[in-house]
Amino acid sequence: MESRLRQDPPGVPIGQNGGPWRHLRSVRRAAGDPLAAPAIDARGYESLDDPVELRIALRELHRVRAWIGQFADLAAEMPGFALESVRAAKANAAMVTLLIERAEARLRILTERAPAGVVVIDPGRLQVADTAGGVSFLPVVTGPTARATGLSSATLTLDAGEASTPQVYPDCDVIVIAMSGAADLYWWDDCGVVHRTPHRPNEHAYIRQGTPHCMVNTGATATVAVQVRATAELMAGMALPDLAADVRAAGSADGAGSVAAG
Amino acid sequence: MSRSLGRRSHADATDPLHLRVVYDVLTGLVDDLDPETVTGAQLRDLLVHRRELVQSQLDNAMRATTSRRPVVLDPAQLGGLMSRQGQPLTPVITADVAATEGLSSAQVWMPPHHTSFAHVHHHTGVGVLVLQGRAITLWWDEKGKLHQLPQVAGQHLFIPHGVPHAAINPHEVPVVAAEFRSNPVFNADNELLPDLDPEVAARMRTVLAAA
Repeated sequence: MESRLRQDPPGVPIGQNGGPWRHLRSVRRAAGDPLAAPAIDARGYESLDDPVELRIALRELHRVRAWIGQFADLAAEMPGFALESVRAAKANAAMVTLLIERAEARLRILTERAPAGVVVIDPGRLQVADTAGGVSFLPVVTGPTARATGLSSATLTLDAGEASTPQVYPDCDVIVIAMSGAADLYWWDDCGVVHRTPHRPNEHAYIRQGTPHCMVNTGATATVAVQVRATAELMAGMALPDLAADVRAAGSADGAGSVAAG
Repeated sequence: MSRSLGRRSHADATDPLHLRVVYDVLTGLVDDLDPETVTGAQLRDLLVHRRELVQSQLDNAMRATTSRRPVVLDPAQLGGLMSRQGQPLTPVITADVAATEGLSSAQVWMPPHHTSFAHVHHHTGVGVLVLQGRAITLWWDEKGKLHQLPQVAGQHLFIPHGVPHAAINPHEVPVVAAEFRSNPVFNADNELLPDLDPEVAARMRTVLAAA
C-alpha cells in the first residue's frame, strides 16, 4: 500500500500557530468565514453543539478551578501573604465557575435534545438530496435523520465516466468505502499537485480535513461508495469546481505525467 | 509548583480531539484572565505553560501518524483481532496509520450465532454499515429497557454516544460490516457492561427459538 503513495510534500508546520486547526481557522477568518471562530469561546458555550466537546471542556474547567483553589491555599501559607492575592484567586475561581455553569447549562439543553437511542436507516427510503449529471449524493445518517453528533454518513453514486465535484472539508475528516464499481480518488496536496489513488470495492479511503478531493468512476458500470464524515453537519464541505479542470486534464493525458500516482 | 502541576496533567492524553478541546479551553481562559493581579498573572503563566504541554502532546500525536496524505487500505490485507467486546474485527483507518483526528473505521465479522459483550462508548458515536448478512443490535434506553433493532445489508445504523448496546447474529450466515467511530483511536472509549450480558444471552435464545 505504501508504495502506491507519494511522499507528502511539506505542509503547514504542526505546532506552529497553534496547530493545523488554528491554521485553518486563521485562513478562514482572513477569508471572512463566519465559521472561523474558535470552537470554544470562553465567554460562552452557546455555539457549541457537540456534547462530547462540552464534557471534555467541563472536565478541564473543573481541573483549572481546583488549581485556583490550590493557588489560594499556597498564597495564604506564604510568609507575608497579601490578602489581595487570595481575593484575586477567588475572583478567578468565580469566573471559571460561571463558565462551568454556562457549559453545564448548554450540555443540559443538548442532552434534552439528544436522541433516545439507536436508529437504522434504509437509504432506499430516503430522497436523494443532490443529483446532477450522473452523480447523486444521498445523506443517510445526519443530524436531522438520526440526531447524530460528530458523525454522519451518505451514499455517493457515480454513473460510468462521471466524476464528483472536487470539494474540501476544512474541519472534518472523511472516510470513503467503495461498495461497487471501479473508481479513482483524486486529491490535491498543499502545493496544489493533483494525485490519483485507485479505490476498489471494500477498501477504506481516509481523507484528512483540508484536503481537496473528488472521485472519478473509471469503470463501465456505476460506482457506489459510502462516505462517512466526522461531523453531523451536512453543509460542512466546500465545492471547488475550478479544480475539475485538473481532473479533466489528467483524464485526457491518461497518465502522461500530468497527475502524480497517489 | 506550577510546572509540576502542569506536567502531571496530560501525560496520558493521546486523543487529538480531547487535546484540541483542552487547548481551546485554555486559550479562552488565558484571554480572559486579568494579568494585573498577582494571582491572575501566576495563574495565567500556569495556564500558558499547560497549554504548551497540551500543544506538545498534540504535536506528538499528530507526528506519530507520519502523514497528512490520504490513504486507501484494504481490510483483507490487514490483521484482525478480537475486540474488547468479544467481536472479531480488523481496524482499518485509525490514528496508528492515518493522521485522523475525528474518525476511525474497522471491518467487523460476526460468525453465525455469535453475540458480542454488552458495552458502551461514553464519548463516541458509532455508525455501522452491514455489507453482508443480517445482524441485530440490542440497546438499552435510559430506563434500562432493552430494544432490538434488525439490520440488513445496505442499511446504516447509528448508535449515539452513551447508549449501552450489543450485537447478535442469530442467523446461519456470517455478518460482514463496516463500522465507523467518531474517535481517531478505534478502541479508545469502550466500557464493558457485564451486568447486561445475561440479557443479551436470553434475547439470543428467544430469537433463536422464534426462528
